[in-house]
Amino acid sequence: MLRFFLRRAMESLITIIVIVSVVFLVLNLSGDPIRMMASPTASAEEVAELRAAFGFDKPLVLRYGDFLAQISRLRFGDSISTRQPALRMVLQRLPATLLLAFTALAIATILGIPLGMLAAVRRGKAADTAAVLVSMMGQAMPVFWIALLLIFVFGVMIPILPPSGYGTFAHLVLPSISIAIFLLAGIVRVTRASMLEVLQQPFVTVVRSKGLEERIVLFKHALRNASIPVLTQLTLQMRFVIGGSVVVESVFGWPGVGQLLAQAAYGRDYPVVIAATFFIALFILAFSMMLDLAYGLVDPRVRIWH
Amino acid sequence: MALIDTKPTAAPKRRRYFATLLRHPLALAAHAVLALAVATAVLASVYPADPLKQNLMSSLMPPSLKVDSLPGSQAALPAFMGTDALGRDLMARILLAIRISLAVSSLAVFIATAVGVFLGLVAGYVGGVLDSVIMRIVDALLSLPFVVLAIAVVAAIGPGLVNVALVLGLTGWVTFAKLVRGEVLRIKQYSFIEAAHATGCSGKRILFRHILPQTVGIILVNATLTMGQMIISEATLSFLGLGVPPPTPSLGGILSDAQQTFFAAWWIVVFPGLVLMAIILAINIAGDFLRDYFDPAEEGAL
Repeated sequence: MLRFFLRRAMESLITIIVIVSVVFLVLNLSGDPIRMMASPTASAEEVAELRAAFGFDKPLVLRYGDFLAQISRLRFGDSISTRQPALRMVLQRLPATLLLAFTALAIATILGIPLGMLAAVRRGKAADTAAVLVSMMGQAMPVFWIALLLIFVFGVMIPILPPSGYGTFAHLVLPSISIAIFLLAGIVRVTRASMLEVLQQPFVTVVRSKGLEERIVLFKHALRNASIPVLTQLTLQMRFVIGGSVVVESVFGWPGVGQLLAQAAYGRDYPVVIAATFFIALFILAFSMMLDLAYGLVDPRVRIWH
Repeated sequence: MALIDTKPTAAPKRRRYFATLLRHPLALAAHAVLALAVATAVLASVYPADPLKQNLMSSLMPPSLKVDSLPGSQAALPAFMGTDALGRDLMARILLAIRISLAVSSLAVFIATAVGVFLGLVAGYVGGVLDSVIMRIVDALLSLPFVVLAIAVVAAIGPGLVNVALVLGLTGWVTFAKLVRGEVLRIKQYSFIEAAHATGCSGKRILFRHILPQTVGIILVNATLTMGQMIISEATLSFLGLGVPPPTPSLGGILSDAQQTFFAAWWIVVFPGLVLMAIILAINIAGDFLRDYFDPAEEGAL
């Protein structure tokens, strides 16, 4: 178990180094960041001063070394727009994003798995067709459009929920449902496919023929065997959750990392962009590592620890 | 008459495609929607109303079929989809936005395919350190949400019509590289590659003349599905103000503007979204169909 953890931690570390390196390279190769940072009226001296202040007067290789050394000590520098440490800005906003992400994932899982099972059990019937259609629609609707429609219906037409903001439970409802609708599509599809496969296996016929209640056959025997692809899907989904949260946070004025990232990109605030990307990657890698451990809980055959 | 027909001509193959298509009504409908979208994109500027002309007299007019519902327009044309806050005809804007969206996404898919296929071929064929490095980068980039990566790159090179295509292309190549590399590793083991080696083919020739043609199907399927992703991503970036800059209409940009007039104008929220959904739905269905067509063994949605 320890070895598994160490190996995964090493892999994650390399992944993060690659990601920040790519962002660093793109930032540095795509022109002069200082020229964009400085106001158009700045004098040559002011530009040079700024260049030295951010270390841009050194050659690229040296800067890259400095950059990695700084990042490894979690020093991301100060935000260009607010002059606050980028690290603190990101960390302050992390809880809001985590709250939104896990609520959305929970809603999608709690609704998606039973719906997918229902579709599989009623294969070819109306419920199945409906589930397939809904999941196809869900994957074709951009998340921000879902969010706008939800605001329109529940914030404007029937004003029962706040259309934007943060703080109370009511504020959480619309943003998390927006992301969940998109996730639901993928979870329903994978659960359905995985269940269909499991339900054809002989052991299901065996437990059925020994007279077990259909409910127990489905939930205890079939679901457990069908859950590995669903868990894999959840790891993939976490990427969509975070990707969706960037947009949804911007629509609902939700003070999370995603909104911060979008604003920072808009204002070319590189330290914040790098810090936000770093923590998003870190979170996704940690989450997928935890799900790898969860595989073992549902299926002892793939248990990685002993 | 040859005993073995080694070179089937293109025509029967194409006929087989349409014959298969006719048996799948959903896929047929998807192809029709896509044909319509492409026709719209090509003919967008034929529509008589001006997508950029502002007219505060006709601000936020609801959709109407009355011929004089678009005041100030040269052509006597109803505002089928209403007008936006600046009095611009929504129909004309959406038609032009479809052109922009398809153009940007096609360019992005083209870049992604070119870069990804090349790196995938090289990684799979050469192997060794180069392969490890390329695949490390691929896996790292795949672990980030596509939108996050794209936003980080936009922060570097800035928004703009061509930049969006560049950003999406340069972040979207990874799936191509991964798929093609896997295919190359599989194909490399076949004896016809060994035979090509034995006859003295150069590595370059084997790679591009013998291996690449075998991967066309999988590349085509992935390109189709990536196209849908690119359209969503372009709309998302434009929605966030990081994509196509105004006043050029884009589906994401129109939806972003719609937020300001939410309470008064439902049509600006509904129509661009419906268009986006129809196109992406059609692309996804067509992509699934293509996958089943190229790989009948795999049971898909059809």
